[in-house]
Amino acid sequence: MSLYLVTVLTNICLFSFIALSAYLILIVGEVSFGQQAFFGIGAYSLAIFYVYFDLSIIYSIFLGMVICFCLGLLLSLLTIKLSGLYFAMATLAFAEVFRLSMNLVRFPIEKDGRATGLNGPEGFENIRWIFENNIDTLGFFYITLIILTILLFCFFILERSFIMKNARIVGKDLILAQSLGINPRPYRLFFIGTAGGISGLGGALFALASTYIEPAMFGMMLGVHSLAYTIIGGLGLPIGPLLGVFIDIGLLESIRFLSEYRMIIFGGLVAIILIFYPEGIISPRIASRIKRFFFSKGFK
Amino acid sequence: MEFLQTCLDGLLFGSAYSLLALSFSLLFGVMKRVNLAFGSSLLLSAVFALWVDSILSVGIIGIFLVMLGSSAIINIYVEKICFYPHRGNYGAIVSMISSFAIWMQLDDLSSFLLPDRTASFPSFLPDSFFIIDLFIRIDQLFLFFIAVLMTGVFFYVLYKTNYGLLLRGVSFDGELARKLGVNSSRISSFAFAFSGVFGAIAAFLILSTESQVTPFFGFWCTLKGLVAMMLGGIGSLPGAIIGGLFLGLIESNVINYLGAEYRDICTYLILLFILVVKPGGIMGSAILRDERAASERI
Amino acid sequence: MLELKSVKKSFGGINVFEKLTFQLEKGERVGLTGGNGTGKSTLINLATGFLLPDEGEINFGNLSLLNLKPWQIAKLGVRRNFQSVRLSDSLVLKDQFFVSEQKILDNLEMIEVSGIKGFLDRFPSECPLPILRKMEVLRALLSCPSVLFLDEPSAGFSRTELNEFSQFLIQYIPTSTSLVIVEHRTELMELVCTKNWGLFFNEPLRII
Repeated sequence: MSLYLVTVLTNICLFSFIALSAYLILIVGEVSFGQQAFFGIGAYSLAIFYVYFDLSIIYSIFLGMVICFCLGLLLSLLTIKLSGLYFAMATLAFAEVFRLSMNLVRFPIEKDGRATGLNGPEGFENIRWIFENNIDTLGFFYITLIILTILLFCFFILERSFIMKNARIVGKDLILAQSLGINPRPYRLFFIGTAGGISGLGGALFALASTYIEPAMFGMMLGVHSLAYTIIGGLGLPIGPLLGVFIDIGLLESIRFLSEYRMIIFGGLVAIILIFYPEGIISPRIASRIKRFFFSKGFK
Repeated sequence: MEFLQTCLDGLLFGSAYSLLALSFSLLFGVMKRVNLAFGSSLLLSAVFALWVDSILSVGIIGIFLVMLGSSAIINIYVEKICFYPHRGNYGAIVSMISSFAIWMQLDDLSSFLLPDRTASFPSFLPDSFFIIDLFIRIDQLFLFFIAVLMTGVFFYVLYKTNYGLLLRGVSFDGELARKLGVNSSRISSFAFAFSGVFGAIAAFLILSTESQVTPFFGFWCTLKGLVAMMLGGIGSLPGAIIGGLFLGLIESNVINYLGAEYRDICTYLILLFILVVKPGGIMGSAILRDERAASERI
Repeated sequence: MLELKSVKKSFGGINVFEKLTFQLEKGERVGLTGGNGTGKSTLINLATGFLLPDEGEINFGNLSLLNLKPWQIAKLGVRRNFQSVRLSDSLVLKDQFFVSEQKILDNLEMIEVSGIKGFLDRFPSECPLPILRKMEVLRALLSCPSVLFLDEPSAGFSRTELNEFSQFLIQYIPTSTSLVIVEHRTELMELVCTKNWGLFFNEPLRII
């Protein structure tokens, strides 16, 4: 495979994580403008634990995920009364506070003769794990692919459980959910927290892949893109968000002669897709249709 | 005196935020929709007007008129492609994402018309004067008065004209209004065009006090307008005005006492705090957990 | 068992109930009827926690329901259906019972008698309205409620469908379940219920 293709595929995998986190939040019926913050917190935590504290890479990633999960829980606890635009703006405010404060934190150090560490808007340079372990681009792609596959497997298990079924009802029709005796709060907390963790995992991998992170990478654009990926792809199956990422990064960025007009085409394309498929390409209804087609009729 | 000067600057600049917030509040109050493409529609109309000026040299009045017209047209386009197809009960999220996509599109179109990244925007009345010790720029003062005037026009249209009545009717119960024979498609186009014209006036005044256009202007408008609206309280028109002025006050004071790099952090911290403690905003009433459930008859 | 005591509820200054008192004993089958705006649905919404009364008490056994959320009340076994059918349009009917698979298999006979068996693999948009209404009733019944509120369960039914449906209700609602049917028409409640009340604007309940 050519280097360029591998890079594009790696990017698709990395942005799939944040798209999957947006998916989880959309399932419980909320819109978050702030998933980019968890992506960024994951990336920064990994960099800090790995560079400053010399923790092993596994621990660094894991700690980043735990931090993101806890912050997600905290955010959803704070915003427990909010929904709709209120929730979206609260998450946006949270994300911007994180991004802007990263612009202010400076604590540069030197390690093995190279400048690294937190350095405000100039970013965090030299997160050299892939060089230290001689992992080439293709190798890193396989690593992200394996982690993404494991994650998708977990999603499919979750999808078959009552948790997902109830969460979908909570997101779609809160009144119906309550009349069925479903308490909406635990679903909300768990899903928003988990979404934070998944986004953080993606961010940590992103930091490893690019070896350099700066606050400007985690602006509002990233978060809203992740929402757009999920909405185009559809909320029916966890494959949906991946399809959305593929359409944007895979198709448009790789067709180079289009790259100058990329957003003009992508923007119009998304709006038109949404007119014909308002619930996304793989909508919950289509997912049910697939299930009906493949599985038995009636009971037994 | 320094504090007074800071507050004065904040209020004068905040009036621009108020205008932006009013446009958002109109759409949210009436259509229950968030138009993320709003800021970039203003940017595109400004850039387009400059482009027309560079070819035909229409002058500052011409630029103003072209901006009003093009902004109205762009907003109707946004309405037709993002909002009209998703006007049902569950279309709120989809139309928001759709308008985000169009935001990207409009921003890129603007950068085609703005190859140098920045262009100077004609300013008018670039004088200033002092009252006692307070430094006042005439164009900013003008902006403030226009904002007050525009707010008056806004309330007049909404509460005294036939279209305003229809708008409020559609906002109260779209389904019922349709059954009573209101052409809700035309009303919603009118609302978007009106907010576009309103926003274009605000954008013209802001750009001429800044005397330049950058590609970030669209993003800036959307963000400041939304934040000011949330601070004041969604759907409340007085709330939008107060939210804008409050945002101006916060920003100028933070810049003066803490430094420019803390401006946005403090704004967002205050926004987060207000959303958590008093979600309805400064002027808004208490909100319910689920607006859909509250407005729906079960 | 379930009791509304001198409940007051007003919407925008208009009193729906001034001092409403309503009692439901275990196993009782009650019909409630009344004109538009007399608060038929409001009574259900109050009893199931979707609305809070301005004044008065609502008790279930010894428990006050005023501080409970709708889902807690539903868990206590006070179930309801909705006047405008609430089914997810993206799931086929058999996925919308929200009880365990075992429970469904145990009650296959009931599902068959209700007449929706042929529709279990269809989406709500592919089914006629009577089927959807029956589906909602079944969903509530499968959770073994101790109080069941039915809001306009037979709206849109033909005469024969109504007769079948009343037979179904008489046969399959357990004797320990209290049933409240709220309707405009009185045909169904005359067939099923033992006591029929009339709701009148700002007046106490009257037996009709």
